[in-house]
Amino acid sequence: MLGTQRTLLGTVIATPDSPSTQKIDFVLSSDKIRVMKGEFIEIEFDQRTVLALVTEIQKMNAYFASADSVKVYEEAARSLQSIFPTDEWNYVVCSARPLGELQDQVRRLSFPVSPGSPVYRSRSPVLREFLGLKKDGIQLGRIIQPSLEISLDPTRLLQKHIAIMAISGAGKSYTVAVLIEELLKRSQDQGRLAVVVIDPHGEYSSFEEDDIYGSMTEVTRGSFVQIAVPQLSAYQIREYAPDITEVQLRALEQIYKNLWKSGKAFSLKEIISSINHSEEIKQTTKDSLISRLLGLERTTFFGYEENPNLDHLLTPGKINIFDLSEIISSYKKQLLTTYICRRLFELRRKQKIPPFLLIIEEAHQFCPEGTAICKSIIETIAREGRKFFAALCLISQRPVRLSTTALSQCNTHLIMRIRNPNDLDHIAVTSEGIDRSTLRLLPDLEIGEAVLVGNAVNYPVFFRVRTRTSRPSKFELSLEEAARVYEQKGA
Amino acid sequence: MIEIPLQSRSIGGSTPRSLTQQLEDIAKVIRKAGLERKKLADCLTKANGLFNDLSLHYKDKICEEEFVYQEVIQSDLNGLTVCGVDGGLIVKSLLGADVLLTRAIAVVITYGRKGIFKATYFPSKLPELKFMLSTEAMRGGEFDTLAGIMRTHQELETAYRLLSAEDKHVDIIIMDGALRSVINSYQRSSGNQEVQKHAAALQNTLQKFLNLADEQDTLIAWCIKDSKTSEFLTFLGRTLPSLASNISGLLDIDYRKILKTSRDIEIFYFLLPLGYRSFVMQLGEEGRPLDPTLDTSIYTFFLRCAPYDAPLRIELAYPQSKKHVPNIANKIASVILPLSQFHAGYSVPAPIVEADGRARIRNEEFSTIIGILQRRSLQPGIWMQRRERSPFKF
Repeated sequence: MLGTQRTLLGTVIATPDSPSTQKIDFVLSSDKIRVMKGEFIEIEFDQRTVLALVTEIQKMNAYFASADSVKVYEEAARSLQSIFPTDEWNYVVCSARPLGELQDQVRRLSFPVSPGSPVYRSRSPVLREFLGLKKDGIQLGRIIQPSLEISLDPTRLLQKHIAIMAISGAGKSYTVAVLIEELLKRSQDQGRLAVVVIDPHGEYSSFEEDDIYGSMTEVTRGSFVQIAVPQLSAYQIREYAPDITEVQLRALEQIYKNLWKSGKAFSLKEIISSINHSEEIKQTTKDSLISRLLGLERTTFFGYEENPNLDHLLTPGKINIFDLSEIISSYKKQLLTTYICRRLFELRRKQKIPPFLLIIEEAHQFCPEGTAICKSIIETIAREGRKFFAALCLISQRPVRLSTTALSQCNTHLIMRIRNPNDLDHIAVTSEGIDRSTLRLLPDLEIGEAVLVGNAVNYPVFFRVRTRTSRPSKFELSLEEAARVYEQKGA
Repeated sequence: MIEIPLQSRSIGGSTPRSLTQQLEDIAKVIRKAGLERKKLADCLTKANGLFNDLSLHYKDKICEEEFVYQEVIQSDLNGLTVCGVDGGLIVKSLLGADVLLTRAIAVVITYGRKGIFKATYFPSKLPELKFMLSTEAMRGGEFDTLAGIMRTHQELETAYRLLSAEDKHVDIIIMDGALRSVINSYQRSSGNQEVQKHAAALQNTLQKFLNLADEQDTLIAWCIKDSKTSEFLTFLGRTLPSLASNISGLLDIDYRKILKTSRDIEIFYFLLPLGYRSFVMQLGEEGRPLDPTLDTSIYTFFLRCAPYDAPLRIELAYPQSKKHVPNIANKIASVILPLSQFHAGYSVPAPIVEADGRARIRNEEFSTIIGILQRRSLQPGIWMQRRERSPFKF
């Protein structure tokens, strides 16, 4: 592995604060050599190889060091380059952060490299081992320099949950689509998860129409979901209507017991009727409780039987999308999400359904720092899901609004372009393995570029998401294209 | 010499004068001197055209030209190859030894239509340092003299080797510093054997260099950035009385005193318009070259390249009859002017700027070498002077 030929980039220099265990500065051998910010490099020192990440690149030229002089010369309507051989004075100094050293294994750098040490472009096999990548794992994209596929161990990536965070339009959903493709492509021998998507805007429904993935996809429109009232408990009803008081809860519990005893099928209508006819429940309690139950009834989600039947819905290597785009009310979306998450988690705990990955788009709406009815179950899955192979993928464009509990339980963070300073600060606090120098790079990421930190990789890695092979989402259309499609449909 | 009292006296005691007041007094003196020089320069402007008789009369001293100054027609640099040569030097007197580091470089620039076409460096972009250490106890100033000779020698050696090696013709070489200083350095070298040895080598190299340049038809210009001469004014001091009555306003000022108390550069700053050169003078006693063994005479003129900078003084060596010297001066000026005019307040030819930058020796380089020597030599070895090795950083 270490015998692979390397490209010499330059030499480590001494500055007031480097080389140290935290920082290395090096000058490029020639200003024609191209080094990129975020690139991995190797430094040979004392028969060891130190791996580092380029954090900044600065070009210098003595002729242009004095701004007022440059201005005076340029005012003579001649560029400095035509008067002096300025190109001969270019040199490039790069700063890098040491990540560790390779001996028999990867170790933290405990002693700095020496000034004068040669600096090389990192080799792919070295980097693969250093980062903890797997050869036939989940292939999300490529590190740009060196060109290396980001192939991730599924267990490291997903078992301890993953959060994907970026501003609108940075490519989160595109990246998730790539992740879904990778999960659907896996064979039985490789180990396949079932994939469930809570899709508030219908971004992933295009999988259903895809030539390859269509057969592996089932989409359930939110308005068709039915919650089986007989399968709920009074506590679960209260989860959907948190205003139900303790007194009302006790009353409801009693009604439930009676209805179960009767052996007849029942829904909210029957519960409400039972409450009405009950002589044991005080009138004030009745009125309040009925009012709350009527609220639930109006959602039209509650019925006698469950639809779809979640006991038999999930299949390894297939994806189930709950398309909530037709539902406008946030409360209703949360209600459905609560039900689906709780049911799936319970079934998984009893091993009645296969291990799954639960992907929640716009996670800050379902599991906010504030209150939401589905927050509790999502946090529960976040805390306990690992043990039962129920993996969570939270997607959000406002990480600061996402529940800190849930986010902190996501051991892998995939971060794309983030600009909001509050979000950046929040990521700094909640993302393990991300330091200030990596944080500074986040606002400058291009669409489709991401940094992966946490359990999935040994060190934060910047990469470009691969091209999606599945049918694009309708949201990937431009505004003009969407307008054209609409009119063509009408015609 | 100006002496400004630090305290003004008033009746009953002395009152300290503020720094601002003292500086204002000094500024007044400087302004007055400047005004007087300007007045003289304005008068001399009127003398333009009256030089014909003078040049005939003093033909051993000045070239046959009819003017105090004339316009320079700038050359088109396209196709020209110009070389700038400069050297760097650090000299230190240590306890235990004297040391010097020198380096010299020639920057060869070929110009195209849009400016620089190609730039090359001789012997390389970062030439090797030449290091010399003397444990011999030299008398005060001898080592400095030696250092100067060695640096100059290295510059000349570099220029000579460039001409010997270069496949392509170099049209003009611009040397940094005065040719006269080169000659003085080896003529006035002391009795010290080491110094004399290097002085002889310098003289020999200079001769070879001048001869080779002449063979190859390469012009050499010696460019002095901060001239301190007063030769032009001394000459004018001798010759102006005969013209005074024809120069309006000259007799209204004490021109003799101004000429005596000024330097050439101070008068020419006011006298020379932008893009003009002065008349050409021969250096040394009339009719006697500075170095008879060189078979060449040295001439000099001033050239105004920037509106807010003092004129440059240029020296040139010419072995033949004085008749062609003004033409040579024009050629040299026509190339140096376009190379030096880009900064309104700093006029140095661009190849010299580049060569100076490349030749500079940083204190860090010197410290590294001395540090190695100190660590590897036995005590007492060599020591930096106490004033430079205080353990305290004030």
